[in-house]
Amino acid sequence: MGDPMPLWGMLLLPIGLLLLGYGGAAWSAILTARAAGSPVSLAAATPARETARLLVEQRRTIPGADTLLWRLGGATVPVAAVLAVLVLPVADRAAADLSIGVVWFNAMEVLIWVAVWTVGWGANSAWGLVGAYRFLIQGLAYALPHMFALTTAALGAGSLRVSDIAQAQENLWFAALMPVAFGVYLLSAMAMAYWGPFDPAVARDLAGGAAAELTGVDRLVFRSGRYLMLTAAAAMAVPLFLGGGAGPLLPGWAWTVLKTAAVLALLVWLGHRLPTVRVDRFTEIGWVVLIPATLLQALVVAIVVLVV
Amino acid sequence: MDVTAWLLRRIRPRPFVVTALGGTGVRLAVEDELRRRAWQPAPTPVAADMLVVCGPYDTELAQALDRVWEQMPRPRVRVLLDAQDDVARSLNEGGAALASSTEGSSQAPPLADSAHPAPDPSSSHGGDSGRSHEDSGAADASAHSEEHGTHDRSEGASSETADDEGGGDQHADHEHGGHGDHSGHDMHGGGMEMPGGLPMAERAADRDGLTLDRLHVELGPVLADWPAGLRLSLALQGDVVQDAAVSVVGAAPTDTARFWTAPGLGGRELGGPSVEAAAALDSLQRLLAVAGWPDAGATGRRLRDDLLRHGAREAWRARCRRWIRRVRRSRLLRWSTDGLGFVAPDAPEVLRGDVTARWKRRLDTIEAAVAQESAAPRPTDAGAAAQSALDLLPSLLNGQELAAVRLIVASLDPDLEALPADGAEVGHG
Amino acid sequence: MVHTAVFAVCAAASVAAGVAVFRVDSMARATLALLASFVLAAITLLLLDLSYLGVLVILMMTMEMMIMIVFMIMYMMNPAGLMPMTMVHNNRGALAISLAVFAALVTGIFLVPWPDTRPGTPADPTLQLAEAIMGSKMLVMMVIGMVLFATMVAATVLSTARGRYDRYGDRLRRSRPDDPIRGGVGR
Repeated sequence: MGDPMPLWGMLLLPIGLLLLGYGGAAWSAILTARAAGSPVSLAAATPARETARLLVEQRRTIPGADTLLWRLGGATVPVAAVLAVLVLPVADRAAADLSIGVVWFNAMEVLIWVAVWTVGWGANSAWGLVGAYRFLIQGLAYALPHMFALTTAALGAGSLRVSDIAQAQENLWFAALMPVAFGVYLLSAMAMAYWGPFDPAVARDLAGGAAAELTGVDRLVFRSGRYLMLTAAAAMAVPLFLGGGAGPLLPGWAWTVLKTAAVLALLVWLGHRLPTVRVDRFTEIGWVVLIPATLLQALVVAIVVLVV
Repeated sequence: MDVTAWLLRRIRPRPFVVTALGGTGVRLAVEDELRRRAWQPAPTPVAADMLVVCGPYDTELAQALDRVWEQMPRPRVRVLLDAQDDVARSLNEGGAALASSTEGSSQAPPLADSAHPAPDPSSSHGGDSGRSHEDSGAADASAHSEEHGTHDRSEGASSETADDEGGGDQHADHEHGGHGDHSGHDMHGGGMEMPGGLPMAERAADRDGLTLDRLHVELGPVLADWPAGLRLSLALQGDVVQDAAVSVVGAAPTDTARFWTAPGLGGRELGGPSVEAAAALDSLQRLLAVAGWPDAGATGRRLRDDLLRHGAREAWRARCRRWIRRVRRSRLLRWSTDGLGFVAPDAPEVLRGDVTARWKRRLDTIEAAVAQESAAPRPTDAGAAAQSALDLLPSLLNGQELAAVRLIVASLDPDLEALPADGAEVGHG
Repeated sequence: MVHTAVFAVCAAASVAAGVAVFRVDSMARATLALLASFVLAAITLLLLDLSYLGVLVILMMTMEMMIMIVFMIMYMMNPAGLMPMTMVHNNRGALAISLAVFAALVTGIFLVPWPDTRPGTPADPTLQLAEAIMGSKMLVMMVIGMVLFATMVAATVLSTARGRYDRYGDRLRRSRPDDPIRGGVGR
């Protein structure tokens, strides 16, 4: 739908993603400082200072490592995040408004599985490999509910095109029509960015898990990729469940940015507010609770679509 | 390189704090100082640029520290602190050394001030250093060595594991302590060289009747959120523990008693319940960090420091009550720790029950101090509790996966400084 | 023109990645090479405007390869430093089989009566595909779906060593199952 996005918009998209991602990182640093009682005024610059630190830090080489896969995996994370938002409509225009946009987003976001697994595997470290396996297990637990949540949104609009889904919410946001699907989407948004309660793959108890051996630029790319992915997932929640760019007074793009920032802030806050969910226990929740719940939600929405 | 220097001046150090047995007091001072500077402690030495060692020198720990030091990326700085050192000044010097360090030159990494004799890493490296040097030289000729005898390349393994030279004639990788029995791998070509010169994992039957690879991983003594001086030698299949053994690294010097029972806690006047509460807060912040709730852990650290510095003031009590309520009400935390590491009722009282019961008991202790109940509810013999925790650990850990292992250890939290001086007996399961 | 160039590059690269599966000496690299081959083949589907099928191939193959990698390496938990291993066995037999299959497929290409593309591609191939599946072929697809699902469940049940009598006791009276690792629902 609509005209294709102009070239400057395509350039602006990753930059906007990066800015919002930095905002998320700064908000995270502020929350950390508040909890620790450290000076909050210093916290907003923490991600920048950490970036400076990682830029001058030495890159490691490890004997017996699969260096190619290790470095490639880390670079995949930000690339997957940028590719995922190509179908995001900003002001009714997406960089590539594919007729199967939802499937595209899902496919790009699953690339994170490859990325985290190869980063954990490549470093030749037990911590890394355990972290990598944790992420795959978590992936198996959240992937199906996540897909059903996406399917439910597509079902509500009768289209797999993301801009169609956004337009179908003129009267009622899908977050209100399908709250279970929205909740599961937020949950899987954190899981796909291995963020917050779903961070066992890179958790403290594994000394950083999949990321345990990363230093310097490699760590910078992996960590910023994580914030980009979290931002991308938050941004996709806007057209899928929160009415897209619809809103009073402000132009559409501003509403998209505002809503994305709000979802991102919520996700970051949740990550700080909750302890890590243990994978071995979450798997049963995913299969026994979330899959039936999302299927029922899809059934209800299907009936609503047929009747109304 | 102007850009490098410009960036270096802007970095905020990321310290990795290691505590030796007998270094609890120094660690508390360091953590307090870091918090006020907003220097965030790193969860692993690989992510750090400053290695802060708290407590007295110990040969065995020093060997583990040298291995960790080798793995830290440059620029890096080592800060050794003992009881009589000025924490703030030493950290300042470490930070200054970091900001002025010139990366990539042949200069030695700056060694910050330490009051006690700083061991030369190359000398404390023992017979192992030559061999490990050779290994890395063969694998990467461009590794430029520095005058300490350490080298640029990391040892390849996880940063935390400190291998105890169990590898025989080959330099053992930290994680693959033993030599593999490769005969079963029918796809291996005969006579191929070992990947990276490292030995393969051995194999053994697992609990489902499959024959799986077995890794030997050492947890501690250099590990974040870990009881000082504890070393856990695990045989892992996947992330499931098949066999666990406990040992104690280092010994608290006999003149320093257990920190939490030392008279006056370094001159500060605190009542019994407050000291108990501070000790419980210290234990709990470790558990919360391991449980993946670093924010609650950081608040716990802050409450502990405030309590030790000012006593149980009214503002502290209000803040502490809020924190206790938040932790106690966390259903997610309870759900993650329920049913883990169950200890039968014949053990010392502090250890009984599952992980949830143990962290709730610590919360009760803190709550008693908040309510200023004068009667200390349970006088416990910390030494006996630590000893039986060590005895129980191997049997509790068998068959558990790594996340559960970390939670169980953090919930038992044996205070090894309290062990009787005549040497601890360690269990094996 | 661009289409032809992209197709040529993807086809060649896909075959090259397929060859790499048998030339690299590590399970992880072999699996990821296979994934690369599948993704490149999916791009040729995208060139045919079959965007749904193309993206679905990328999505499903990524997930499947990551599951496969777990099983490939599960029994050899040496992180990255895997012993270099050869990825080919039974060379002569494998060569014979693959040549025969290749010959059969090539013959098929020339023998199959391909549909005439002159009417042009439909406006929405995804819709056409769905109508084909859910219209006249619906009964077949549903039966196949049920059979696949039943096979998966049956295979899982057969391969599980512990059944409900181990978990809930001989009379199934236990309120909490006796499991080595506790699940998340608390049953």
